[in-house]
Amino acid sequence: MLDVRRVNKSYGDFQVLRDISFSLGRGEAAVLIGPNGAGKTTLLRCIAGLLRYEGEILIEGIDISLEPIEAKKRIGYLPQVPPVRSDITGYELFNMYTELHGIDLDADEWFERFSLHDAMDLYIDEYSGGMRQRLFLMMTIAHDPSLVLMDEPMNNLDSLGKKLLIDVINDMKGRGKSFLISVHRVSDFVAYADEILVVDDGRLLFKGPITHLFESLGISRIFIYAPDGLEKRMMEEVGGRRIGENRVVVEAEDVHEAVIRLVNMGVKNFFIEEPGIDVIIRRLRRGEDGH
Amino acid sequence: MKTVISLAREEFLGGLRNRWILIYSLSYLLLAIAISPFSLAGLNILGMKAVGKVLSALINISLYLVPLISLITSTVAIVGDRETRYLEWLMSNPVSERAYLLGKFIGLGLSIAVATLLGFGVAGWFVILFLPPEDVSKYFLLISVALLLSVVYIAMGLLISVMSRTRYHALGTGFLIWFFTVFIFDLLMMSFLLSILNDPLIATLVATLNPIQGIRLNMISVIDPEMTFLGFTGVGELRENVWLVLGTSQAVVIGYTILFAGLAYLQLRRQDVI
Repeated sequence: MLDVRRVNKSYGDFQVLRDISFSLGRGEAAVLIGPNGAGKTTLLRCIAGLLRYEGEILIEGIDISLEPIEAKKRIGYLPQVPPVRSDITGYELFNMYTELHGIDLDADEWFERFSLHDAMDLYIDEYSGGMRQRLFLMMTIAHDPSLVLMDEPMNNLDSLGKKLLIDVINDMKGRGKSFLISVHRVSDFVAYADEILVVDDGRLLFKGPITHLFESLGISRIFIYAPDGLEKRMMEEVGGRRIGENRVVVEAEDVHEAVIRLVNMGVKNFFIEEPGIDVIIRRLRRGEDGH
Repeated sequence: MKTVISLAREEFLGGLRNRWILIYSLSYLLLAIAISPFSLAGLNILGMKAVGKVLSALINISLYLVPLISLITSTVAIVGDRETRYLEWLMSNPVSERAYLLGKFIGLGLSIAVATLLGFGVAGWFVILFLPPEDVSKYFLLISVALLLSVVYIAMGLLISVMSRTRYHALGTGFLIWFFTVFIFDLLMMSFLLSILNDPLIATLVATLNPIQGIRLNMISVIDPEMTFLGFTGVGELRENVWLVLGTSQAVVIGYTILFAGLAYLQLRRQDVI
């Protein structure tokens, strides 16, 4: 489906992507993680045919630098920041989009599906951030692309938008479509992704099954709401550290065991901290070194 | 071609909603209303000279306004799409650089044409009311020549837009070019050429390198095919070679349009979308 071979991208002397190679199979979904400035957006833009690069990118065997129109018919791309236009309505843009792809779609039906029916005739700058994200999500997938590229798609999405996005991923994955999604929070996609790609400083540090992520996480932090009486017990019995009034943090190597102990002690309210991208990268690196 | 039509229609619609084009159209409208009745009031006394007054006033207005509005709208067209991230989204769809540029060119051209026709239209109403049919056709020919001027400036503006990183940079460059071609070129080139060459024909041919001068000559020829408007330079050799001058000026305008549009296309292909 997607083959990225030895891709390099520079802006003058500044190299943003360094020799990146990977492939993605039919029906596979991969999340792309990395710290800010690691090259995630640049990589997605290269695959979408928006940037010049050295190397080779094939979409269903079609080289996007040689046959951009054919390749782009097979791609759906959701940019990190959806465009704002004050001179065109959502309906007019959707209409143009369908013409560009040579498809005939029922606009009413699609706007309804994305809960945008009432906003069809609004100018795009009149849409809220979440509505705009939904509009462009709709125009990322309505032509039924084989490969969907999304750059931090959860941005601005409310719960309705998030549900829509997840429904879209599930539905399309089931029909053999592939996804490459740049994410800020891995947990948003951990249930839907098969692969994880870690990019740092323009290099692909790691590519592997997302299950590897769980194995590499190591120590997790659990934040607990501990009402009077419980706070002291937490600190004495499970080695908790007080971080504020009725608030305790516990660091646990085995989250499963720690959660059982906490529940047995009567703790009802807690959440497990999602490790930051930098922590994940550090742990994945450590894991790789260990192997 | 379907892609070009879609993009041109979207640009055209956007153009009609653009406040600059609205201001442009209204300015024309007001100026045309102001000029026409006053000039036509003297029609009975002055005969055809009054028609010349109306039309020459409109020529002068269009020689300032058409390049200005064409540059304002076209210089921000591509860089604006880039700044709003619209270009990033659009070019991820099956759209070639050529289709995008052509769509912009046609859409902008049509929106300026409609705005010009609307503005000129009111003056046209006076003209149709008071003038014989042959002068009405001259009037519409004059509008067509004005639109030819907008075509070359749109191409110039699109090249500036492709090469600019911000819309302020693009607008600034566009305004400088407008100022140079409308005001400075006349002052510098005409005095220089006439003093050095001392040959009105060659001087006029060189002057047509400025598209505004070329279009001005074409407009004058519409009203006055004998070119008596040119005064001293309108006599003798120049008047005998009027078709050479007009042909050259038209070729220069078309040549510039192809050159600027071609360079814009090459630059667009060469650079990253965002």
